[in-house]
Amino acid sequence: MQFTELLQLLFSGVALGMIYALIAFGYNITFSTSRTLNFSQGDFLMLGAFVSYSIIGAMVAGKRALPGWHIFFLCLLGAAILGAGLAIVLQQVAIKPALKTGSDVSWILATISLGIIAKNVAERVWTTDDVPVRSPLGANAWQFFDGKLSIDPREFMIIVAAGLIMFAFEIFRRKSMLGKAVTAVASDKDAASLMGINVPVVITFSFMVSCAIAAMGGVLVAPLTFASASMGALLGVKAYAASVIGGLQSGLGVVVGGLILGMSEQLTARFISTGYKDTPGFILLIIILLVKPDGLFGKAAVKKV
Amino acid sequence: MLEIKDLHVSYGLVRALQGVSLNVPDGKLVCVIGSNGAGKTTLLRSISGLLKPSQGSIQLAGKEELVGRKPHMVTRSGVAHCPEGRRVFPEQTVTDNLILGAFSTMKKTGQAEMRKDIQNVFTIFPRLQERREQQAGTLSGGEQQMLAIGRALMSRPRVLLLDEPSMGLAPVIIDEVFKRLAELKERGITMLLVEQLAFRALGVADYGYVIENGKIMIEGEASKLMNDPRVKEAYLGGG
Repeated sequence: MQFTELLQLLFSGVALGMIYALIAFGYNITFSTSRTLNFSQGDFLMLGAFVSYSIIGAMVAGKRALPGWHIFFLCLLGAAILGAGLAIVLQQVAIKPALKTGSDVSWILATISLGIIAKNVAERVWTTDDVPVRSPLGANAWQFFDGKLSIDPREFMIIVAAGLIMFAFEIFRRKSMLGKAVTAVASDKDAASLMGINVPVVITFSFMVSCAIAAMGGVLVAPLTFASASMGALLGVKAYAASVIGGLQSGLGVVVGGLILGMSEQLTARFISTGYKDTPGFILLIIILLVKPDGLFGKAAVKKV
Repeated sequence: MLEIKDLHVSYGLVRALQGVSLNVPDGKLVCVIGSNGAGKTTLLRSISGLLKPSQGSIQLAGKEELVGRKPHMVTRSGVAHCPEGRRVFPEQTVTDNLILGAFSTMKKTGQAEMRKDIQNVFTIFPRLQERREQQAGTLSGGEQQMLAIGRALMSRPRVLLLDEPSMGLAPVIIDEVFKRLAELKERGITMLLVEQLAFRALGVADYGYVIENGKIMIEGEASKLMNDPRVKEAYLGGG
């Protein structure tokens, strides 16, 4: 076991973790504003992957040519628009009625079933097969230190782009008026409405952002894993586990939770067995639920009376 | 400026307000005093749209009916509500809280005017300027109350509703809060104040109402109510 191999493993773990983090980040956004989340987040990611498959297929001539960066950004944009648009439907159909009645079961089941519908529609519109999606960076590993360390450019892209997407949203949340309103709705809905903030609109907006981010995640992950109609379900569940580990209430927590899960999977797969790769993450999940149910970064609200 | 007629509000079978009528004239400070559970907070929450009255009307400036409007629309029509328990946004900075206070008016007035309004709030409450980059949740109770009032002022309200600004504060701090309210009155801001501390409230108000079990029992000039034996009896030593 060489140091470079460990480094490579950790790098892959971080890349995988960033995908979980990206989905979980979306959970965090809507959970903070509405105490609900979209359990079909993984299927939004799948739709994003197929959008990029279609755009690249339509706009890049030749089966092997790499898509240019402008095509890549077009894929991200297309995925984000589709995600945000469908989020409005999801919010109206699955979330809004549940918020009215205050029933937790209904939004959970409704978002899960919309995910199943999305999967079936994708099988119909695209394919039931796994299809490759090309990355603008190609798939040939980058070699460092005379080939001792090789980095997968697709993983590199996931880490950088996912990081940038989350960073951009954090800046937006802190600096813009709408972003501040999102945070205000998250901490106190009544007080936010007294500021003149239209709370239901902000909640819808949070779902749009959350689903757009997941769909962009699909564009990032597709070159690595292929696009398939069933790719979303497991990713969505694992991202949920990641957000519970880190703390659903904390934006930083869900990222850390994702990274822990991603790295533990890679390390277990290498040192124990690929069959057990999901075990440590879920054991950790159970321990966290027993010991600190708010998650690692879960915080009791700062409140003085 | 604000005229309430025959307002009825119920929580299920509990009738919290039973035909409350009152009037807040332009530029005046009107207070509603009463004990816990008398219906003071219910009154303010109905004005700002957080509760739906079953009957009655709330008129702003003699022409706008507020009953039936959503809270954010009531705020946009010029009623700022400084809620019970302050309800500042604890994880956001003092400055962000103030900026959020201008949410409804920012589009009309613009960035520059908003900055001016923030400076204006800082001159009224200098402590807030010292703490402008601090998270609101880390402020003391008194500072949070100042912030809640400052935040409400940011929307340049036509009427400011204040729900028990003395709640949970030390007597010295209460003095300070009421001094600031008197200053705001000097600036010509129309206010409706509800308070348990009857004599403190009457001390700054122009006109007062006494509410009991959801009904207005006594009303009159604040200076007269101060010496009214019925008020004295009910609130002996109250503030």
